[in-house]
Amino acid sequence: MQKYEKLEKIGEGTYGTVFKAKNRESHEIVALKRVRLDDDDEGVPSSALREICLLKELKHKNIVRLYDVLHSDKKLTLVFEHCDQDLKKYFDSLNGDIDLDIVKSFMFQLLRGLAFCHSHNVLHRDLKPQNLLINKNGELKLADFGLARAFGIPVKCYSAEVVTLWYRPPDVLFGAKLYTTSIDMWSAGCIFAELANAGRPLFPGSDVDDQLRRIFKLLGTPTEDTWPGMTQLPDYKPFPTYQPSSSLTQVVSKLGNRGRDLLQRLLVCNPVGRISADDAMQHSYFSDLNPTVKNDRC
Amino acid sequence: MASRPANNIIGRRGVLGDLGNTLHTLNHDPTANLKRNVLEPSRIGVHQKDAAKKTVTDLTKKIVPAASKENNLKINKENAAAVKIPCRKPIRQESLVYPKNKTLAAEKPINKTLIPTSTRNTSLVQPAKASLAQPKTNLLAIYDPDEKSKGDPLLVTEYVQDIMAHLRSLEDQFPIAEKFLEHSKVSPKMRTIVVNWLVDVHKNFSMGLETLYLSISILDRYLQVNQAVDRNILQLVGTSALLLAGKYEEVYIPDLTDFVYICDDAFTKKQILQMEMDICKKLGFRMGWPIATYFLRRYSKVANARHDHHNLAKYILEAALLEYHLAHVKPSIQAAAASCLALAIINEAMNPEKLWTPSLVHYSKYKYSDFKHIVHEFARMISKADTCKYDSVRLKYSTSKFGKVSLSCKLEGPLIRKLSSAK
Repeated sequence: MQKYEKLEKIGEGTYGTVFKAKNRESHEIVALKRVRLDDDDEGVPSSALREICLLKELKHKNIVRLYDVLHSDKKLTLVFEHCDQDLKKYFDSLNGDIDLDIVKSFMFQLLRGLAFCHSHNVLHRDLKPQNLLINKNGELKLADFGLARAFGIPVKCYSAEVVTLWYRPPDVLFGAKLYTTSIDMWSAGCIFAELANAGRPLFPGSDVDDQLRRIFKLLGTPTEDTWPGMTQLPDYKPFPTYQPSSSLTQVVSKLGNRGRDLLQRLLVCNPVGRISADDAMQHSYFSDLNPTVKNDRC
Repeated sequence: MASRPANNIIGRRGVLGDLGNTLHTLNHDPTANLKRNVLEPSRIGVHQKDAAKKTVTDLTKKIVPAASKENNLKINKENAAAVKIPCRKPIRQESLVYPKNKTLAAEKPINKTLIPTSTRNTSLVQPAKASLAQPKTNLLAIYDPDEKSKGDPLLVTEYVQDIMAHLRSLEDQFPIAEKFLEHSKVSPKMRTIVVNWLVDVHKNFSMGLETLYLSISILDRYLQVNQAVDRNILQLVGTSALLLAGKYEEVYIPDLTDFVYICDDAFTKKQILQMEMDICKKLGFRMGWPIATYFLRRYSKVANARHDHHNLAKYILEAALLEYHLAHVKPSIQAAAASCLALAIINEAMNPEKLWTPSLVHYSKYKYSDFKHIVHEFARMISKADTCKYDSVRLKYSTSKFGKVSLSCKLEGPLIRKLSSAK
């Protein structure tokens, strides 16, 4: 790798190691994601192929920019714009306290990046703090499109093995293979609550059952009335009837009424009822958002 | 990437090194072949050397649901004649610029009586071609295809307008040139043979329709940029294109060994992967091209199309994949021509233009005159279909799964005769 000088390892993505590096000519700092191509393997991994193809078409301020793809016989290197840290690491540095204006700004940028994906027929399918990058200017960018895919209309059946457990919506936890943009909106809701709590995950389940139980304990167990078709889902199983707990106020105590209202519209078990990214951006919670964030368009 | 076991291969076809070494040229009698295949749901076994393999594959087929089923397509069973439903809401404007003018449209009360859309559109960004294409239309004649679908999340009504605008802009970014094989070592006939073969292999792999269109789109674009491809490696390009399209589109794809098998071991795994990488490099890793069926589904919805109409349009579009001289025509135009022609054929109308309603003009952005020449091309293609040597698509659509549309006697009716002889 002559063009770039590796500086340090940043982490592991869905399918490759990520390094911080410097362009030897321009001295620009970039992130390199290395994908190994083994001889006895199946060639370019589909996750890498999709990430590259999708990011080539998704150019937006709130989506990480793919600058270049370098290839040799044994490996593929994706050259990304470098961000200072991911949201998870940012949380770790907070000591349990977060400025509510930052919560609002990050949430708005997350929704704006998502609305851009969705209006360009792309589902992210792996939203979580580790996959949201932030930089010193307070910008937030969606990253790691290794599980993302393009969708047609009407949407077809796709894989049910998507989204990290804690951020996975109840319909997918019940094995739904037919899902749409609402899949990302649930994750956005979980991240919103986590932001408001300075990094405390909302539903840190240990397995699928525990995950569903945690969700239903907070939001109430859905029924065929509130969620028609739920019992027909491939992995459906009955859960005890929990009543919607009033503790949402306590769970996100720092969020005001408007923020809680938005959260409640995101965390709807029935995917049909979940608010879209576009509509969420119009929510009154953002009416007092710093105009420089709101008008800062791609 | 999860893969299905290797034993789901069905068809196995000769290499294209020798153009005579393909299935269709073997003692070919189109009629005989057709009869045989109408009786059998697929061409499995016609050239199957190993009966045991066939059983295994048939079983696999039953277990694995075909991803290509468009069973979610909500096509209204009402007749297309019922299109003129008054629009109760202002139609959401499409904008190529993000974010959209949603609030603008909502704030401005629109006098619903008799305002031509062309006037209302002036402040909004429209593709240059579209503004030309918009005739003076009575708003009352525009049907809102999404009104009834708001409760169905699978139709993504919230974003459908943005997505269609995005797909149209992608079409303009990656065109296939007319006569793109002019300086290539690959002849149009060789391209037709390899596409015909891909249609068969794709069907036997039970892959989605998107994968087929995408693989041919990859093949054409690669041939366009690499003039050095010759008959010896053309099939290799086709195989790697299908592999890439599968990786992009499918939830599960066959093992690499299955791809080696379909080429009759003419190429090794390593060669397929090297070609895969070369395609990626030469195309700059761009593969998210829109395909004609994306547009067709939208038009079918706007037209309230019935299943037979939609299937016929699908047949026309797929048959057009084999036509070199149509490969450069934009998918959205091809879909419009196929949709319009299919409507005319099914309704036995002699003038297709009359079926291209103001709603279809509005949502497709095309007037009839924008695609009239393609309608004529399609009619000529259909009129020649039963004597065409490369008939994988025709055979596929002669099965009951597709309502046997390719066998319809309407395809030999006066409309096709009239249109196919038009200049």
